[in-house]
Amino acid sequence: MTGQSITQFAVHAGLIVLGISFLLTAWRVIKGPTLPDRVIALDMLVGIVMGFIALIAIRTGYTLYIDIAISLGLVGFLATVAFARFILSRKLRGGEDGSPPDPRPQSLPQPLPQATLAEPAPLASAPLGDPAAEPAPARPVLRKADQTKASAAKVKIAKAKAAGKAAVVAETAAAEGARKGRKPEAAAKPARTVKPAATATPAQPVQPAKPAKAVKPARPAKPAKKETP
Amino acid sequence: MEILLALVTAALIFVGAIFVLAAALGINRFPDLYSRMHAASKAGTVGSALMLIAVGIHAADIAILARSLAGFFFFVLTAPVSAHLLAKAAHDTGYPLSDISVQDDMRKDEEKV
Repeated sequence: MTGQSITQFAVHAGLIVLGISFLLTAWRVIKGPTLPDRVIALDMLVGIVMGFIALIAIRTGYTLYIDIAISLGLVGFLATVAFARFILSRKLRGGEDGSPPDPRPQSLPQPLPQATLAEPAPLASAPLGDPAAEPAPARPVLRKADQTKASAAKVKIAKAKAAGKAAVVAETAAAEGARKGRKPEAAAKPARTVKPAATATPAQPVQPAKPAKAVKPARPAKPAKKETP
Repeated sequence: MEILLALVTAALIFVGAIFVLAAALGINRFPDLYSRMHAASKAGTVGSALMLIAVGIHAADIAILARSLAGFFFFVLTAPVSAHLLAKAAHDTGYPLSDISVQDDMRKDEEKV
């Protein structure tokens, strides 16, 4: 029975030491100045609890506890990975640490103007600038052309390409789409191409270059080309 | 034989407990997130893994030993991955190193020099 007593003594001593280290790690969780500190401490708490479970398995003899320890380790690993993704997606907070003022003003203002440029600009320019200013005067011309010559829309598109009127091509494409039932596509394509034309001129020459090669997207793309210059 | 198994188990438990205690001290004493991670993800992992092995040896059953070894390898293999992910995320987000730190090889902008 000496072996049994040795094991029990070791288990008790291990439980005491693990309890002390558990409290120390929990203190780091409470105190930790930043979020990653707390996450690391939580990850280590999972490890300590795995040690607890192992010791209890030795003490009670229920070796089924090993499976519980393995599953707890899996959960802890997934939780740490999820926390890492969360930290990566989250911006650095102001009062969380003493030193963040260095990286924070650099990291925060940069994404903000990009977001403002990317998101609200097309929304504001698409309804306001394009349909009101440029395509509106061109619409009556095309509608007249459509009403007069309702025979072939493709011929008109070719003529319009040759003529080089941007909105005319878009409108003919929309009209053709309405006949063939493509209305949403035809209406959406010119809108997309027109949006960047008003918002960002440097990005414009890149986009029309691709559709100019293809046949179908050439309709909405060519107008965008001619609008920018 | 029984005493030998008990001694090996007790030694594994003691060594594991000392490792975990060292990790807990390190996670409180180190000045930096990254050095704390250095303590927690190595010493803490080894401590818990040694206790898992102690369970397998104490049971003196090959099936239980295999399960405990599986848990050992799983824990030892996943802890560095999670610690690396966390350190990378913290460094990319901009959590600074302590003033004692000598070198930061992942520094992107030179103005922090």
